[in-house]
Amino acid sequence: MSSLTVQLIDLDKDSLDFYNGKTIAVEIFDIQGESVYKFALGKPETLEVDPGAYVVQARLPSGETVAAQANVGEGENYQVDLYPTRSPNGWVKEFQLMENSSAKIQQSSQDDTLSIIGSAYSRKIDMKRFLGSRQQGRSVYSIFRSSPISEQKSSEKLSSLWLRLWSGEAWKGFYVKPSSWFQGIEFEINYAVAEVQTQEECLNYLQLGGEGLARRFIALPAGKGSLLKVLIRSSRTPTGLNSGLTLKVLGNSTTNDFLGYIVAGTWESADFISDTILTKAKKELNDTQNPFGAVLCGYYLLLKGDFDRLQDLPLILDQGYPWLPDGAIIHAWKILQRSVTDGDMKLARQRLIEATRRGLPIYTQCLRLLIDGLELFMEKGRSINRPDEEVERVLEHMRKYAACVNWTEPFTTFFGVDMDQPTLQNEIRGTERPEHAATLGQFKQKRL
Amino acid sequence: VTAILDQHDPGVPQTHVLVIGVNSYKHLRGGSGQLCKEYNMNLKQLTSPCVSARAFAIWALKDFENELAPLGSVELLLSEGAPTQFALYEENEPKEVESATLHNIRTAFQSWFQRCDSNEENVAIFYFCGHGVMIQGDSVLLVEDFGADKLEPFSTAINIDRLYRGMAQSKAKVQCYFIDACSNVPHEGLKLEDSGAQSFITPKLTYPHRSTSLYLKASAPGDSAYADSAGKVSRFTSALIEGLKGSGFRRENGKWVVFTTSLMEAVSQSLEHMNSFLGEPLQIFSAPYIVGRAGLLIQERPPTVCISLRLEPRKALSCAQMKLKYARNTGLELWFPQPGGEKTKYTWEVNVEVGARYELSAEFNPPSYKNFTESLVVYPGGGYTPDPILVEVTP
Repeated sequence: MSSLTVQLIDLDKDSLDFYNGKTIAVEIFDIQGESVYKFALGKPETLEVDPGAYVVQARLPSGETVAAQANVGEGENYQVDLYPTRSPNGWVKEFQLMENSSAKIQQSSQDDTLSIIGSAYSRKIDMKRFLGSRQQGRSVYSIFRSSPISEQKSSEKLSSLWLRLWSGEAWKGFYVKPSSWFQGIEFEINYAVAEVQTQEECLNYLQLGGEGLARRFIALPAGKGSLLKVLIRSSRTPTGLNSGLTLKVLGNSTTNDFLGYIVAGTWESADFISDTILTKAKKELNDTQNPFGAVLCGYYLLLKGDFDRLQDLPLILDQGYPWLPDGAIIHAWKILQRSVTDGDMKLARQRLIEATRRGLPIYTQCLRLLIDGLELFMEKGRSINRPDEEVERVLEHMRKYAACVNWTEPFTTFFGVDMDQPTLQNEIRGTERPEHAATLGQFKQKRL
Repeated sequence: VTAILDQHDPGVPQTHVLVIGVNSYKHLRGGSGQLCKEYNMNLKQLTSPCVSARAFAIWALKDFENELAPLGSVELLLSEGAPTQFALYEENEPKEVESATLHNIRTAFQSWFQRCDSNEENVAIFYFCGHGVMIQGDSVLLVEDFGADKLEPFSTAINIDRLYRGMAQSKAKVQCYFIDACSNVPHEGLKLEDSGAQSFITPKLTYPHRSTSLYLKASAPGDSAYADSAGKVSRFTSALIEGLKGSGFRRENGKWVVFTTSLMEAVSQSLEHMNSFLGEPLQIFSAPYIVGRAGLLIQERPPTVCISLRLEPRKALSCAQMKLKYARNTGLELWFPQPGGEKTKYTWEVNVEVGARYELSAEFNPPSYKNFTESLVVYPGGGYTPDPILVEVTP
């Protein structure tokens, strides 16, 4: 019998460490293009295969793809080494920025010598021979849209930004003193990675503000004692509103890997790692009561219409986490997708209204489902000339947020002066630092 | 109504396509009507949408293949500023195409809905290219007579999100919506409670008939969609057609199939590639709704994709004479450049079959690099391996 070993290698360090424990979608095609193996790669994997020619493809959560040929002889163990792309804007880069915040930002891909990165080889080769000399230095990031600006100015602007944490449930909450949540910050020339520790099992929203910057909130997928990293860097799509700046939060590994596939639109790949992710998410739910991976799986299975695997997950998320809007929303939509009886419709309506009582969902797509569901009930009332006043009232409230939400972010992100004041108006820009805000510059020397 | 193809048969499953392109806006800057002052959002006339809509309609008529739901109808509406015509081939009698006003679109939508609703195994495809904005979280598409009513300017616009929700009532079990438009949030829209845009169908709380849907938008909320030069097919539509013709195909049980999900992957990959090649402004697409997975196209023959061969180091290409031939020795040989020909480009873009092995050989003149022969495999998704092809420098 022959076998095929597949492994992903971090090109910079020539090491397997970075990809160990991640969930990477790997697919093996025969030479006619028919898919013969699909699996989630978390460490080097050896498969028994028939002798023959194959293409081994790994798709990363960023949507990046690397592939290599494998010509497996009779009785041979053939090894395929894949070297994924190190795109500055890709998931890998963001992951590395946050996991290893002292990482230096790489040179732009304009550098001819870097075009080799993103390649895959079926045999070990001396990559450095082809790489030549790689230079460190010029950053690809320039914060705020008025680029190019000096590195010093960029650093000053970063230092002037502030963060504050809102914790609470059912729309009632408060800003927490930075000393109890702000764990540290790592500065590089044009980006910063902050570490945040949440105290309570409730909704947590982090607000970013600063001079000339529209204030914005981002939902944190955080429970009691969660430690999260938040990246502040330039936006891929600078606009007047976002001031060329983006705020990203890194969930845990389960959430982050799966979210990558969903955000990148690579649902074929998401499908064949979903079993692995679902198992991990259920374990987290049982062992640490962390519901965020399970919410993501619930959302995915709901859209896929995979009710066999969805089982009673929506009910568990709804009842087990009475502060979390997302669980009630997924529960409501499971009912809407499966039932048409008056009793079921009544229950679905009630769960949607309950979700609005709990607060703003953690995931942007759950907010979309919430508004869509409420609109269906609103239309129903209006169609029989009996407007559903309760639905219309909560829908109006949620629409105020919807208008200020950045729908491209996976975790709910909205522009607003305060949790109860979403707005896109310019007057929210200002230099004043609010109470309980941690100014990033204060912590300039503090390393994570 | 302009049906450029009408072979509707309610007794059998079919695919029904509605295509809309809007270049010309009467009440926006440069238009022939009175300017919509309060809500013009600084928008002006466009040049790409009708070219893009025509390209999509031509793809449907020429290349659509699905034995389970063959093409039943294609309706086309275009606003090009003057009466316009459509002919698939030059020798065909051209058909007059109606303009994309709200009234005409409503009429076309109603007949498209009836056709889609006539069989539970039907496939429904809706394509729009033109101006779009986001008003209070809803995607609103502007049509030719947008702004005709000063008091209700968006009454001649389409709320596509609401239309999508309303289409849950249609029996067509597979539904695709391709929206090639911007999703910017205009300041004018912030003043509105809601846009008041039309959806042509009221969403209902009913058991959803559709089991699969794919709703792709060329732009992420708050962002723009682009065409890279005036009068050319837009980036999103190019990526979409590329996915439908080649990179979206996967081989399953011996047949080549474009699934709704593999199409989305192909569009995502293609736009990302364009972004890395073209640089800023980047175009970030979005997929507001992806439900289920179904085959949209099914064919026996392998699809072809265009690959751009990369050598490493890149400059090796400038002195390379390369030959690509099928490994199974069909006699087909492709050359770069043609023997005796001049090299006018420094990238080799070549159309190749997916799921095939090729033999690539190169000779270098001057001999700065070592000649080589390499086995090249093109796999589903439009990728090839090895990529790049490593070239050794002559000592």
